[in-house]
Amino acid sequence: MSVNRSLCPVITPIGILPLRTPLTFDIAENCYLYWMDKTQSETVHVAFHFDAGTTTCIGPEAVFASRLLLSGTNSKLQAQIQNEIDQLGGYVNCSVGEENFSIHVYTLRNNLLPILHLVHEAFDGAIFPEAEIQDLIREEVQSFLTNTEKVSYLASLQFRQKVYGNDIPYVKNVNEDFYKNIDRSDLIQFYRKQLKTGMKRIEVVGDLDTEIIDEIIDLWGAHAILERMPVATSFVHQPGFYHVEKVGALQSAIRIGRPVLDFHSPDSIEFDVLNTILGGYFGSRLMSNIREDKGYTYGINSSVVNYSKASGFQIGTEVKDEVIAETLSEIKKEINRLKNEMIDGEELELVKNYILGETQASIDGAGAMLSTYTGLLSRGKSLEYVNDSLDRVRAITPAKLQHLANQFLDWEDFVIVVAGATKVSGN
Amino acid sequence: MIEFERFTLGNGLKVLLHKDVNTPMACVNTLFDVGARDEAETKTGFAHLFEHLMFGGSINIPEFDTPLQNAGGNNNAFTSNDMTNYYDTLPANNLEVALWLESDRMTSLAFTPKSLEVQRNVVIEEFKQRYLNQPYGDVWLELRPLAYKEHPYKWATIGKEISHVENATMDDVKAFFKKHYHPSNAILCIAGNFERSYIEDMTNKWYGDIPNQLKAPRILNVEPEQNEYRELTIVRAVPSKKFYYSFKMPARKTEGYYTCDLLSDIVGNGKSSRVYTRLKKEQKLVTDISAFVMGSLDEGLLIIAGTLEEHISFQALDEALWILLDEVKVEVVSDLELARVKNKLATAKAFEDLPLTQRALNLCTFELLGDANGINQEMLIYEKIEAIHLKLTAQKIFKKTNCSLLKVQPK
Repeated sequence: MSVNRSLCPVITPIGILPLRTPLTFDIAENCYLYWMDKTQSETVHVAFHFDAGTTTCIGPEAVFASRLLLSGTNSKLQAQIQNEIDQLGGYVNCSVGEENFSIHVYTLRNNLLPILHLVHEAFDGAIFPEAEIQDLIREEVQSFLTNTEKVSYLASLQFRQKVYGNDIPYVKNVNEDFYKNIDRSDLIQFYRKQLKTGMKRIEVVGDLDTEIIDEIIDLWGAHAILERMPVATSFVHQPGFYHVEKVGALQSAIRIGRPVLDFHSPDSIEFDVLNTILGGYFGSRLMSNIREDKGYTYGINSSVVNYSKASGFQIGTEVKDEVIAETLSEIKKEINRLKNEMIDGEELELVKNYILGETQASIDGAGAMLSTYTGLLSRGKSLEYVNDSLDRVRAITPAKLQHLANQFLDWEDFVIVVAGATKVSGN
Repeated sequence: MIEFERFTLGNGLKVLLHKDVNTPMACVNTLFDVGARDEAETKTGFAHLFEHLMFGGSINIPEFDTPLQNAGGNNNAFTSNDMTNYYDTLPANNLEVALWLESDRMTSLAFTPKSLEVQRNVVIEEFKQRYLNQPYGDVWLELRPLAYKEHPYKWATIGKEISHVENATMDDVKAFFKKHYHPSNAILCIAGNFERSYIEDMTNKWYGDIPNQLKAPRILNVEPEQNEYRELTIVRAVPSKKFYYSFKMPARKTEGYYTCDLLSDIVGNGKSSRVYTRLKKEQKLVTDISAFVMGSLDEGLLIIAGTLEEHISFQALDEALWILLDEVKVEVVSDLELARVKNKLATAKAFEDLPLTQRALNLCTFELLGDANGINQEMLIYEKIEAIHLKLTAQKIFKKTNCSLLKVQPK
């Protein structure tokens, strides 16, 4: 049997995606439990989400709280708590970002309740022992000093400082003292206000009985949120060229970007498509030009960073010093192409198909579906948004994209940061 | 239990089907039985450079990514010292697009000079970005030749030195393809909601006419038994002292591998492990420390690595660590402690197998080891391990003459 290898098999377009809504349980006003059952797995993932993050404190309190949440109570030491959780084969970790703080528990079904009781006991009675704080300070300082050896870290830090300007501290002035000066009473205050009475939702993915869900609510319900934290609705940036010197670096890190329209803006989906074309996937214009044609870099990408009510756009790469100027000029060229030329039909079709496929993959599985659901809900959208947004992607025109490029991608409006050994000029 | 079916095409291509009725996606995983260990010592970094070239167009298709993205798909690949693996995920009803693409690049690449030129540069930048321009980024480049004197594990997948990749010629690349990229050197796993008959038809249609070729025998330099303590200090522009104790351990296929894996968990996996509780929390010698196994198919390494507290000397740590390791050699681990690491392992394995792509990769990896069903038997092997096995293994592994220590000293 011989096949024609030159012809691509027929591609079936992606239609309406099937969606699945989780079961919802009221915990308190503004606090709910969402449950995906029938997972056909022994695994259970429970996540507790709090209305907290690095923006709800001045120093590193959020980071310290996330690392020290299981570090001891009046009756148990850190080692004992950890030992008991490990004995049941549980994994517990906390994640923290600017606007989020979560505790994640991973376990097999038969040990779920004992582990949740242990985690709750440690959470509810956390005392943040001074010795544990001192241990963590030394860890954090070492890790900060290691990071400052990386051009990518130095570039991102400077970039964030110039892009995410707000009265709320989305960017902090990090140095060794930032960690060393943490105060135990500030940490405890953060924990009491933002965590103990800051829980906004629980997510459960697992094949469980409803009685278990009730028990989770009984156990954790007392931590339901009392007061919402303020979030940024826009950022003030300082356009310009900034060089961060890093003696001896073999490559330079480049970051370019600015605040852009947020998730709630009418054109946000269209801007995401524009970003995908420029640098949001492997076949993007930046990758095709700067990696696959010129070989200047291992990778280059652009992305949209979505906070709950404000967003930023950024391009990032690391290149050899000999081609910094060429790279900047090629990036500028690609941006000008978006502004001056309409995207051709074939490329636009490809990007649309790619986004549809990625969206389908992003909701595959009970856990992914649940994250999508709660992510949308927290932004005031329903699950229907998934298919509605795909319809908008299908309908995008080259003219609309060109218009958006002209509206948001002015070179003079960008913060441009280069971190490395070679000093370059901005033009 | 991860179900699968298996059949072999006439040209020697092994096909695994993992049926999952709950996903609308498909995963096509292609594992080639070639890694950095199959390179010549004068031409290292080839397996990995080749992985890059596999995206530079094939004999009938100018670009790999474009049609796949048009079909709503995504892909990636990795190279290790043992294998090279490629995977595509896409909506299940477009499965054929992935099979078309993968079978064409298994038939032959386009081998354009431009692709070679560009990917050489990309890999050189990758070398800098990931290994040379990162604090501690070159420790594996230094540790491998310390631990291995003969076996090709002595170089990393990125290569022994940049010049090998810089000097790669088109003839080198073509010879590498011919030797390693053919059906009998590959294992294909298709995962998704598919019937066997459909997969048989589709794989025969797209892969059936790729010429058969004999699998080249693998003759690698044998690593002589280590019977000396080795130590190397490198001085780098880094803020803290780091250490990497590496101990030779049995190959992946042997039972001894699993015992060593559990032993590494007892010693240093997580916050209730011995090195963490003793050396970090009690004695405050380190800010971080852990133990793990490399998982190599041939004789591997068990590593204990970490960062020293600011004013602690390498010697203070060395003394404390050997006291701890000597204990594991004479005392029997308690039932409770053994149960703890087994329970953690059971949870970790169950979560590891959740993503479709991971199941497809693991099935291929176990098939490479001899039987894809190993994925379902692995936990049974761990469960049978008893405390006495750990003690005996510790006696064999944790010997000074089996140890190579790399120290990174700040400038």
